[in-house]
Amino acid sequence: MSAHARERLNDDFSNPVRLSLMGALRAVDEADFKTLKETVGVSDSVLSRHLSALESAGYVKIKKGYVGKRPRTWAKLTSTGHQAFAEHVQALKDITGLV
Amino acid sequence: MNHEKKMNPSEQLAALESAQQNMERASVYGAKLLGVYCIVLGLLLGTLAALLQVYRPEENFGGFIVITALFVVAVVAISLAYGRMYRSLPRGYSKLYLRGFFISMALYLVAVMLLSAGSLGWIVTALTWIAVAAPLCLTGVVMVRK
Repeated sequence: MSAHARERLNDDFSNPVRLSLMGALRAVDEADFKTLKETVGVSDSVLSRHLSALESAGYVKIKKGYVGKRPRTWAKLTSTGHQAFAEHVQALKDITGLV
Repeated sequence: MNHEKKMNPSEQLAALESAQQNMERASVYGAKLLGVYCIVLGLLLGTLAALLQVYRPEENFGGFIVITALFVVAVVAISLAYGRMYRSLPRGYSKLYLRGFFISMALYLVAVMLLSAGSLGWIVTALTWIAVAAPLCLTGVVMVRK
């Protein structure tokens, strides 16, 4: 017997900011820090904290570089992140009855 | 907004859809930017391939050097400009770009190999320009229009 959909929910994505970040990153190959900040609507510190947590869990890859003299940060989903988030979204759909 | 508030599954799906739509809107700029970059790079590569048919290294080495140097400067300039303006890219666009780039580069190498066949006339030169530029330019047009 397969597990109930709620048991397939991933606790790493239960936080609203992390969920939005994963959703936003799923729509792109890569996005910079400023774009993510504007898209999710959070402060630099909140975004930084949640991106670091997602990176530590292996869901997001963060790349730091310079454009001219200015530092810039880009983030993208890893294949693990894509898969884990797809499973989480599927579980949400199963629970809410969406296919 | 309370960033730490727990959401039920329906709220999570709604928040997810909203985040994806916001990012899709934001990445339209990235799609158009890469599209313009592809078109300019395609035109430069096509022009280089065509001009090499006219200014053959064995016949006009000075012209060959000048054209190649101008091409390198132009590519570096547009790449730096693109790097400065680049912020995000819609999903799948990196692969789309690489496909167009490698096809154009492969056709460019064919054009370079044709140099050994001697002078082939202006029709071949024009066809070379079109063939080399087309993959990147078409990729760029697709990106800009999407």
